[in-house]
Amino acid sequence: MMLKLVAGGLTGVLFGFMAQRGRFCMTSAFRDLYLTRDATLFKAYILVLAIQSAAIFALHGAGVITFGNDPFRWLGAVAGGLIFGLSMVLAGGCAAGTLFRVGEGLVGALITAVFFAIGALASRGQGLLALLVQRIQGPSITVNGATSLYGALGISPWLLVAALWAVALAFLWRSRREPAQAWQLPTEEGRSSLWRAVFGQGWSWPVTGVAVGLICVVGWLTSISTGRMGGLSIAGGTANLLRFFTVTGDGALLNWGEWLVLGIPVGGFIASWAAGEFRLRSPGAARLLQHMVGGLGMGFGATLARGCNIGNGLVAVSQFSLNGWTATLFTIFGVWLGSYLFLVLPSRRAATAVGVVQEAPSS
Amino acid sequence: MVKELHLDVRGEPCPYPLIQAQQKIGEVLPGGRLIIDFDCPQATDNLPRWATSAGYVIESFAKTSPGQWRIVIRKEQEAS
Repeated sequence: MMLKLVAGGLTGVLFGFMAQRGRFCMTSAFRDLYLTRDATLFKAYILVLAIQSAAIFALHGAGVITFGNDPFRWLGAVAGGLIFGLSMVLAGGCAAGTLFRVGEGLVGALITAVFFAIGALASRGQGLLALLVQRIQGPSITVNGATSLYGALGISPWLLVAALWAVALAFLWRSRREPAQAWQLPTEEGRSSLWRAVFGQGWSWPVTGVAVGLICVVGWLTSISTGRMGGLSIAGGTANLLRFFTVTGDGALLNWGEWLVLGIPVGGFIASWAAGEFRLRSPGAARLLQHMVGGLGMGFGATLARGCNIGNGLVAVSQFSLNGWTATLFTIFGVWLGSYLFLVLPSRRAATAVGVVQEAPSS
Repeated sequence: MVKELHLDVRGEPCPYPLIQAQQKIGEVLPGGRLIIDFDCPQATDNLPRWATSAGYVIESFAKTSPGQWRIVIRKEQEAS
């Protein structure tokens, strides 16, 4: 119990801290590619994948990490990824982003987190949606007898690791020529340069990528130290926490993954409080309703795809799992579709409405 | 079209502050200002990044209290 608490909780606190300072939000990473043509966070994401995949296959070679059974339930991955992506836009944050924003004092994020847990719990065990999930998860296939990308292609996983590094290094190389930032975030006078570097403003994407990538590796090691073979994962732990609080109260449910989920808001709180960014805040009623629907959809989608943007998007993608890659690609499509439906269309409608009102007096 | 517009998006999570700013700047006359009060930490990066890349000038950027900021964006004459 104590080991699990420290190993999982501390990993969560570190992850929450890094993610808050790095503004590491995978909804933004995917959404901004389409919405504002801004790839800043997506580059950090690729760097995280490069670091984690190299570490995973090195530790696998050393016998520390073993890979379990990873069936490619293609329909579940496609449908779950798409629903998860659409819901993420409504919820305004990915699974991890929602948790560290709880620590920033966002009441809206807390509501998303609770409904995410409800959606995830309803989709497993005796839940109302569990049978539907099992149905959709039914079809599974192998490609060339494999369920991994390198197995399907018949190549060494290290070739894929090298490909990720090639992309990450190309991003890093090109970022040297980017113009220096033209603005300065207002910070209080009299702070040390170290304080400014950590808390002054959001970290640059290479720093964020390295920090989150290292936490992913630390996550594998601390998880294995408690006897759990796996990396960071949010959805299962969130559902178990809700079951623990409301149904069983049985401490046996509290393992590494549950303490991880509890640690992330704590890390987010420490980072945002120290940086003077903590504040209790809440959006309007309509936005909160939107968060509830988004949270439920994320819980359902993550269960269907067998992972959220962390378990699939960060970890399974780094392992080159076909299920993880498919789910993540469809999560990205879902985010783009959701951005169009829920962000671009309403703002266009608002713009035309304003245009009609504005034209009369100005002409 | 107005000379100065005040946008209060405190409480709104990202990306809404940015989306609303992009909308409202269209209602500001060249040479005019858009004043945005916001409390989404991510917007401390994405608002100034958008403003500078879109060719607007950041006239001031201040923290008004813990977790709250005000940024003043000016639309240059030629940038319209």
